[in-house]
Amino acid sequence: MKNPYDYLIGGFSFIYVDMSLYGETPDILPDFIGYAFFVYGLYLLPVVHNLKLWSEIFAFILMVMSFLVELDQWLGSMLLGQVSEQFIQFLLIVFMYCVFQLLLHVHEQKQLEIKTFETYQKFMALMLCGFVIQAFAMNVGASLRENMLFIGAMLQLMAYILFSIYCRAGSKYFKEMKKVHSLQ
Amino acid sequence: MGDFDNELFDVLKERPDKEPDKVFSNQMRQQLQKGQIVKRKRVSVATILTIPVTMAVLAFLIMICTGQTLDIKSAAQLSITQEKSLVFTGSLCILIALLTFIIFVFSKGYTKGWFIFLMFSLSFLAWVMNTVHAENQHLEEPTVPTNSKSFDHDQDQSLSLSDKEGR
Amino acid sequence: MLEEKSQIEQLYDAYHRDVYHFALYYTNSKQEAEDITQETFLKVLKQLRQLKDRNKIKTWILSIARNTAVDIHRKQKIKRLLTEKLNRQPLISNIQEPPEIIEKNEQWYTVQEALMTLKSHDRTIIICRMLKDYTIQETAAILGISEVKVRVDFHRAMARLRKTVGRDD
Repeated sequence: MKNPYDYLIGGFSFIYVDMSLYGETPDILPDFIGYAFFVYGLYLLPVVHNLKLWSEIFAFILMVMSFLVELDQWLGSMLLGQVSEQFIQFLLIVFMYCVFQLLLHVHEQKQLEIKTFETYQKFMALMLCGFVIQAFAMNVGASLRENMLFIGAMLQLMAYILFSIYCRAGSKYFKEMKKVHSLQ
Repeated sequence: MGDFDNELFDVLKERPDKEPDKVFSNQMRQQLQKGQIVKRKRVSVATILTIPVTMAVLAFLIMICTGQTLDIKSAAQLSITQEKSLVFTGSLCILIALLTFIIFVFSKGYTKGWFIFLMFSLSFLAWVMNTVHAENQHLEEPTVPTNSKSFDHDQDQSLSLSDKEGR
Repeated sequence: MLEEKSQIEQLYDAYHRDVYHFALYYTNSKQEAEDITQETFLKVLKQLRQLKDRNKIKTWILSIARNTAVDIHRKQKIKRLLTEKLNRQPLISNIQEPPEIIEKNEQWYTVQEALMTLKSHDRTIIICRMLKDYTIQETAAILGISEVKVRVDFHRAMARLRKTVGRDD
């Protein structure tokens, strides 16, 4: 069975990291592929819960939305504008909240419960604070705006690192469980 | 929980002085029986009117004592700079309050419920209000093209839908 | 008014032992426990009308007790430090007891002392879960935190306590 945590962190990496060649090409790590990874990763999680289905549907909707936004950018029409990007960023934070609720359910009263809960607290606080700071940065002076955007970006970078560390631990735990089950 | 943990606490549960003193318990009961029930203050119309009336009387006294009139009209008209700094200060206060609330919710470890819903709603509302304000600012202050780098940076950052309207 | 009086008496009869036990485990002082119990029920008397959900009265009273205990214990800290240095006496009876009973008294005292080394939050969780046998839901309501946080913090608090007592499983 494939490791769901690899797909979860892969998905988040595609979404979080925006890379373009020489600043001219579109993002070579498209966000919609990241959401597709999320859909598959959530599907692989060893849990039976309504939240799993709803999270998969949410990820699929975000995949479609981000594809439309990316297409809009690639074509250069900019019909949707930056507002849509920021809106999707907010929806991503809500989506990650759902993912963490599911992960808390997966690890309820198990080895990784404490780590999942701590990561949830810090990750969500960092992502949401980063988003709010960036929202307020729109309406301040140029120099202060740069500082605020930088702080917001740093907070979200820390959230990304936390999630990577968590997924690594989750991946390790999944492999151990797989070994135990295969021995049985 | 392991056997060791249960043994540990079973010993403490049998602590010899665990039960409250009977004299103390009876004294407490008597104290509660006697009453000291504090009735909640009711806010009447008189209470509500007292505050503005008091303020009006004080203002009148100040006018008489100092010989100055209170020119309310000019006091209400803030200069543009004062208005901008007031908006900036207000926004900063709202930002700090919102960040504090977010940190509070997650430090308490809430995973569902009213607090979570409120937190997401307020964050979304903050983004919407800032977006609308940025749009209004952009429309009110029509930009004049310059070669300034900082201006170009501002243009990039602004959320402009007006360009699309022009196309 | 008569109804309120009888209500408070009923609440006192039902919960004063729970409040006293909690306060005693929290402070390890009979005097402080009595002060906390007294202060708690006076607050309950004042705020009873504000309580909307009567089904949650037990956790409501205990959360008042907990907050009161934190306040009073903090204020008494300096006083307690001075009396401990001057008296150097544990809270055990002066009556002559057989050796096995004396040993058991020392055992509970060791555990109580270990409990006192924990932070307020951890101590409250352990008292609620292990000494008073409250459920996770009740403990969460008393502390005003989520149930998941209770589970997580409880595991951590127990690990710290085991380390202090001298056995880390």
